[in-house]
Amino acid sequence: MVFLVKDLKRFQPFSEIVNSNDNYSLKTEMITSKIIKPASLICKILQLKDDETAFELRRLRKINGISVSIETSYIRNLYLPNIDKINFGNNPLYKTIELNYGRQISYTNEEILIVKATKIEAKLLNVSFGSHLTMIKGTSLDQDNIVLEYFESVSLPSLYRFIS
Amino acid sequence: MTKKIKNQPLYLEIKEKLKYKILTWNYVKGYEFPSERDIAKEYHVSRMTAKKALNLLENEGYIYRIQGKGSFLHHSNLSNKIDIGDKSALGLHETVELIGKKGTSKVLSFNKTQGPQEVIEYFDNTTNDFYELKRLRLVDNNPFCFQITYLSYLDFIDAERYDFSIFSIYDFLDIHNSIPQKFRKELTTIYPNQEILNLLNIEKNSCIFLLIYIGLDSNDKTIEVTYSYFNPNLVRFTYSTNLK
Repeated sequence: MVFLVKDLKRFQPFSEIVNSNDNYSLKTEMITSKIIKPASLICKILQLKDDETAFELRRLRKINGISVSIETSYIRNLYLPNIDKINFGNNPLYKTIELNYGRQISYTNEEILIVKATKIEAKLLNVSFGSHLTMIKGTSLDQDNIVLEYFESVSLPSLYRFIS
Repeated sequence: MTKKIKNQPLYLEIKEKLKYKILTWNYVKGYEFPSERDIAKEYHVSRMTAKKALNLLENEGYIYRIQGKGSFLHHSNLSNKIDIGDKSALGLHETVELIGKKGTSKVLSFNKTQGPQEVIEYFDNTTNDFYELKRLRLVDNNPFCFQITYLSYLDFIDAERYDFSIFSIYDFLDIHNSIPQKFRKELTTIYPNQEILNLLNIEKNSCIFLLIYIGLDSNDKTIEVTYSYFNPNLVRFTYSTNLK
């Protein structure tokens, strides 16, 4: 069974946790990568101005060929021009933002929930519609305390062991 | 200056505006809350009005203030759920009270027992004999957590004298000068057995949170192991990471 140990005291991108385990092979499939006008709650969380847009990135994560997680990020693209031109299927999100734009994630607020799978999530993760999934959602702030990202990931319930 | 609406005092209006911002996630940075000076400047009101608005938010439990450091958000109040995350350094009872609800405990059983192998290993195989305390934790009479606590029998031989429906484990350990100095926590989502689902009034085939708490003394000797099974409809688990 595939499982990941996530240390809640550290900011650890998904790919870093997976790649720290020699027995796991990570594959990422792109679902969405586009500039959008987000829903009002996400606008508030990202503190977007009326005419501001966000970059939406949704990826399916597979470990050893098993679909384990869907990660969705809403990123304030005002500070990251042309971010939608980058292929995040091959490039790690946070490392790329740091290298290309000089913005480093320095603080996150996160919440763990148990949610029910939507039709799309159920199909992508090969589970039944309405079955339980673990959700991690939250915000990431950069070194200037700008809310750069709001994220939601849904994963198989067996995927994570959270430690602190 | 911000104008008064009808007969509503200005400080009430400012309080409502601040409350709206809290509830719509406008304050996310490290739970710091704007100072009296910042609020006065932002809303073009006097420092006294800003102070009154902050006093009300404090009384309503949205923020707390530390002398000389400022005001901070009670994260738990962003939701009606009980926050069992790392931001909550309080016991469950106090955490429940933070959201303005009444927390109670019901002791289901308290026995001397041979511990399960996993518990014996958490105690580094130093003992097989444990006190096992099973409790149901309730919020406004609704069960939100089923807890099983293991203590070494030899370390706490007088434990049977205490009524753990009114006495917290923390107070009990304090009396014995055994408050854990360190801890480890493991959180997983599990499909529990029917007995636990029934205790928590949850429909079958539901996934719930299991939090394993291991309390250690300064020499890393295990003092307490508690398994907490939480109803995810009534609790939330928040935490933050800081790279600075």
